[in-house]
Amino acid sequence: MNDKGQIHTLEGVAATLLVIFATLYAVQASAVTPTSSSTASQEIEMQIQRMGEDILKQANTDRVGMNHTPLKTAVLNWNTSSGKFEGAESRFYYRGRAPPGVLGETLNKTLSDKGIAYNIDIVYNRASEGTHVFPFVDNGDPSDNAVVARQVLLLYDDDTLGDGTQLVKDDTYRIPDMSPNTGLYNVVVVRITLWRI
Amino acid sequence: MRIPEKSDAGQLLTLDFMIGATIFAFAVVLTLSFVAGTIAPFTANSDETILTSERVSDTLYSNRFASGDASSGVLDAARVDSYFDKTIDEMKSDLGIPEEYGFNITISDRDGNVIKNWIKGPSPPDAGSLSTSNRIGYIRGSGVNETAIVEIKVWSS
Repeated sequence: MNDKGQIHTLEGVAATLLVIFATLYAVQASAVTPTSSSTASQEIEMQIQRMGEDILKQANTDRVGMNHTPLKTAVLNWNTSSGKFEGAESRFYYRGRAPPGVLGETLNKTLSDKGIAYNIDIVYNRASEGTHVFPFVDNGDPSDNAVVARQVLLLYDDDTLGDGTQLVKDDTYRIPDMSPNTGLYNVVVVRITLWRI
Repeated sequence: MRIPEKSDAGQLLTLDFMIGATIFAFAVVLTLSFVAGTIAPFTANSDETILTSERVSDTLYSNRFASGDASSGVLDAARVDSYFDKTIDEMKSDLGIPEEYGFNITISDRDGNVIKNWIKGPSPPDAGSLSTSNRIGYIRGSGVNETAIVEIKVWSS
């Protein structure tokens, strides 16, 4: 019998380990790999963000037979007697559901039905205290790869809330008159956060 | 003539060498396939169709179909109609899509139904990489007043 037998097998195993560790080291050393979220879903993130921008943009255009654009209609759809947005249940804003109306339908059909979740926040101005934010639609916590799109909306004193009350004559609405001496009521930013689920 | 003495060592050494070489060869093959997998997303072939579909959808959305103010998201039904009078090859040359790329454009409403006959181009192949780009706009005029999704598909055939 010969005892040199195992040497080549051990060499093979050693070489194998060397190759594997070299590869692992190389993969660890490079900061960006396809499995890092930044590159794997960059394209998808961009597409989702553009969908958000498109939705807000097209919702902010005039429609036949509507006083305001669908976006403004949704933001002004406030019920003065309950102190909530019209159709909201446990809170003053919409939780786990889309707002009623044209904007909500569009959000349902173009986002929710395609596995994209979204939150909508409204950022508004206070005369001397800077900007404040409150949720409008809350569908939970966004994932790490969430993207944001925005649309600026101008509210005027003579715009009407969902139940017909003139904005300037109401004091239950979440957004105050930032400029009482002018016809401008407030400048709000509608901010939509989108992520894939 | 001298007959060589029979040796026990010979076969053992060969078998041992074979096992060692096989283990090493397996490791090399697995490593190579793993490394090839990690760089696959960075290879160029799919990026080009992505860029093309992005560019084309943007051109159509904010120029060819746009009504008035290009940044408003409003599309003019009459302009869409007249654009769909073009053949698929005229569209491709107008939009600068290379000859060898396949191209399909579909404009549908929110429920996924094609509006009017606004669909052009062959349906994409089952295999191969395909780049899709969706734009959402509001189509106005010619009796069409609704939110629409402009879907562009580009693939290399």
